[in-house]
Amino acid sequence: MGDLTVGGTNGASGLYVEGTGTGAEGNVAESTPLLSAANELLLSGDPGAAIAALGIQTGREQKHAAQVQRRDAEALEASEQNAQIEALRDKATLQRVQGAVDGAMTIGGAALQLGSDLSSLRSKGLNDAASDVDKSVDKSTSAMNTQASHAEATCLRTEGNHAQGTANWLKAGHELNDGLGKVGDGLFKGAITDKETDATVHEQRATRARHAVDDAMGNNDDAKKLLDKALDFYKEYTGAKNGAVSAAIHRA
Amino acid sequence: MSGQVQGATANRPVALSLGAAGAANAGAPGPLLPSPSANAAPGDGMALLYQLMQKNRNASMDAGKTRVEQHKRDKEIQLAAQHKALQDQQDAAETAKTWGIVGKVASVVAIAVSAVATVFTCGAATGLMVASCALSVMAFAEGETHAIGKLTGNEDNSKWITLGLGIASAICSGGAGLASSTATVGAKALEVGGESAKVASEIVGSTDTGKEGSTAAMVLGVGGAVTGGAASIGNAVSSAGAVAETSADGAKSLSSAARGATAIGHVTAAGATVVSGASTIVSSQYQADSTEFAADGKQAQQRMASLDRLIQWVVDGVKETDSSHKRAMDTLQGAMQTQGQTLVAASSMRV
Repeated sequence: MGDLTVGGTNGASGLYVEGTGTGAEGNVAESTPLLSAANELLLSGDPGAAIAALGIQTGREQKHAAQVQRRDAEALEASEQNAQIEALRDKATLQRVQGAVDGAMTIGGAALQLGSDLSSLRSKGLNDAASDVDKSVDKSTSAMNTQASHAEATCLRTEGNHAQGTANWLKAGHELNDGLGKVGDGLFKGAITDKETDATVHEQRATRARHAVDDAMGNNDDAKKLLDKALDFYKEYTGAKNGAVSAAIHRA
Repeated sequence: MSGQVQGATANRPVALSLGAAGAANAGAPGPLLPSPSANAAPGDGMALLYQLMQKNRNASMDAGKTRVEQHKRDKEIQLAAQHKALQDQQDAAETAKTWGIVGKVASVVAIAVSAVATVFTCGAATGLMVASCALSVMAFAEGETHAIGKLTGNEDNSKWITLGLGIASAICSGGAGLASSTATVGAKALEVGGESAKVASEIVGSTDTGKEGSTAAMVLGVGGAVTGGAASIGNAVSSAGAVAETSADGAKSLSSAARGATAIGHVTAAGATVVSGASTIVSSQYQADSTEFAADGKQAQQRMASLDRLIQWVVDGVKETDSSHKRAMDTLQGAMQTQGQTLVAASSMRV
């Protein structure tokens, strides 16, 4: 047998036994004693020992490769899962911003609409008042009164037109606000959908990585079986050889 | 504590280092293997080695058990976190839905009031406007609670009643407009019809009335757009004609009371729109909270899956380590037996 080191502190779990396989949580650290012993067996000139050594070497390499594969797949899975969670949180943030912007635009639009409606109403009132003044002018006989009434009606109409102009501007602002709100809403919805898609893609990648981890575990188990078979073979070979030697000695 | 013991097995030196874990659990009871030399002589290296290996094996088992228990505790914590996250998610989604309904109702009220206020002159229109709003609210309430569907045991009833209430609301809204309109009747009728169709479309589209509801909402929306466009054309034509102009002037001659009522209508509509906007903000915050909680739940689920796998690996690792220890101890035991037999043979040999 080769050098045997039983490590209470080796490996992540404190369970790692060098030369006998992985630790409890499958750390990748490999020991060299068994490999050097296998090399010695390979070069010993004994065909059975050489076969066993080859089996051990192959098993060790396969095991190491499986462990590296598993470690990489685990890292990828964790990374994709984190990215998925990150995408979901980004989506939540976008939902918050979208709601705030949408609500603010709605409230702003309501204010503009109200301003427009009230201005328009005021304009109508002023124009009605001007019409009333005009009607009163028809009944009046005094030229001075007529001129004064016309001036008053003109003032009222001017003010009414000004109010209507304000109403029109406010209405335009309302329409612009609506348009911008719809554009913003569309952009936010698109961004939210993008984040949803990202989350789904990352989830799918994480699932694939998990399958890769399972495959690596399967490869690791296969490697262990190969190692066990090689050791069993060597044990049987050595036993048979020793038996033959003993029999030869007894015969002699 | 760590110690180096030099022993000999199969003519090769064995270097053994016992870690802190092993030392800490040195007194732990062994699984099955007997201790061959608990009182081993100081010079008996192999017996001491065997004893140390056995202690190390016990320590490994204990350490594995501790790790599995720790992972199980972590898993329970994650399970509780996931449960809480799912509950919070559900609560947030419900609250968001409630605020969404408030927003929709406010939106419909705003549209209905605004439609009537546009052509408002009091009189019969007041009652119709109130009826329109009431019907809108009832349509929404029924659409969300399905109370009539539950009472009658037929969901279709709820669907059709919601649709009927929506259309009735639209008719009232249109009637209010017509009642208040005294000039350019055709254009105003079209305008009011368009607004009514929009109201009905909003109601039907906002409530869960299935495929028929969606189709009805679409048809009403298209109808609203068409009649609205026709109303615009009608208004343009009427304002171009002298007779229509005269009529329009008459229509514009609202009494101060009517203007006040119209202003109140506009303010009410704006208030309802503000409520709708505010509820949109609140609803979206709860919706975002719901998404956050869903992410938390997902994260807890992923951690649990990871812990499950970790537990499995710890168990596998402990098994493997234990079998490895067993093999090494069997080998050592064989070497000790060989040594004993050799000593017996040597002592019984005749010189």
